[in-house]
Amino acid sequence: MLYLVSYDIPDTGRRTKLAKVLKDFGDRVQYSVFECILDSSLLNKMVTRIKKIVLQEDDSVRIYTICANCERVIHVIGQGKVTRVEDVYIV
Amino acid sequence: MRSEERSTALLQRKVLIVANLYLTEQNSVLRKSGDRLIVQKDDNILLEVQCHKIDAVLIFGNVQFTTQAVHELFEHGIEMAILTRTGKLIGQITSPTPKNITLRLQQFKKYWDNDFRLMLSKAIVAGKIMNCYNVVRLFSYNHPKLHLETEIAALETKLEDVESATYINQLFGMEGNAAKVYFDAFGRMILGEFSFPGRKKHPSTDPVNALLSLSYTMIFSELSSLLDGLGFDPYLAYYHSIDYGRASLASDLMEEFRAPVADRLTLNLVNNRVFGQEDFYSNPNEGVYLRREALKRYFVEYEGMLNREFIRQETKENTTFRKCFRFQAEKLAASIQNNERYIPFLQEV
Repeated sequence: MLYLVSYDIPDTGRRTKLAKVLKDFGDRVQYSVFECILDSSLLNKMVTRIKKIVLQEDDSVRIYTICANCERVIHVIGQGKVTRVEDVYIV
Repeated sequence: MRSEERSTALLQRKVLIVANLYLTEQNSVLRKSGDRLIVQKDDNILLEVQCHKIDAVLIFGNVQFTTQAVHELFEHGIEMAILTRTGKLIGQITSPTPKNITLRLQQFKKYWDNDFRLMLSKAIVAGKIMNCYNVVRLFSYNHPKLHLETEIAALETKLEDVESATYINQLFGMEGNAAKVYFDAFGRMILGEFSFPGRKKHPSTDPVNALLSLSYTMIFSELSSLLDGLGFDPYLAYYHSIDYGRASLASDLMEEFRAPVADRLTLNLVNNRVFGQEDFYSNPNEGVYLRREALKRYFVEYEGMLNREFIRQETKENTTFRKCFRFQAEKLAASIQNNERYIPFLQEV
């Protein structure tokens, strides 16, 4: 399943920390937006790690679930493309 | 409700389709950062990818890796294969996961069971010849002008012979004879600018042999790490001799896949002009190999072949060759543990 994670965190230290965690799960598509292709266990893992960083009173992290049908009709205007599962990585 | 649960499970399995990572950039370094793998050369990051997306890492030639990266790979159960720049398998690195000791005990016990070994070896050789036969027959159907009828008939006879074998050494001879007929036919199936002088290995003396050898290595590497992962001892085989110093059980399992996967891939690549003479080079030892840029294109084609979906007649289910590898390995385990008759993979035409 594709998940869209966006955040608003005023503190630079926590923001950097969170971005680092999110990089382990998905791709950064905008400054504070990540697209992550995850199964349920990876999602749980990500949520657990996010919870360890954010402060309830100051920060906001939103995880949107994008269903398969909606994934197909995402509009991108300008730079970037929607994250896809790669079949192979060759360097 | 239940069907909903099942479709969710299916969706999740789809997400879990994981990819191989091929590293061919000489003098690059595989590092880790968090749960991510980073491939770096000098100060440039060539690739950054999360571990959960990777199933196996194949390293070709002088690519360095850090111990921390290997730790991370072990943690995620990712297999590692180390090959030369030209694609010869040097070794594999796997984490010491708890091996299936009951399977191993049975596997060793069955080694001393001559009836079992003969039964399995016959299935392996019959499967191999059957698939060779089918590859030639399918090709002949599309290219009637080649007149491959003699070879097809000969392969059919060789297949029937297998049933009469009473000991394993006889099978070696039968397999060799069938291979000779088959590769004669195979040579005629190579169209266009390439020719095939017969099977030549160590080293390959021409582009077609180079593609065959590379494809066999790739499949062998997948199968041996798969067998290891399922708990087999990959060094104990039933048909191939065990003093060969390598994962012979993978050689056993590979026979039935040679023609439908590796040989057909080679035919496609050559006959559809995916590669031309200019994509190969000879090194001083007279071996012929793919150039690096062509090698990268080869991996794309190889992955395409292994992940292409088709319906398997036996189960009527959608499958891929990669899934068939696992399916056959599990069949082999069942055969060893429950004395079930082993049925090789058959490519229907």
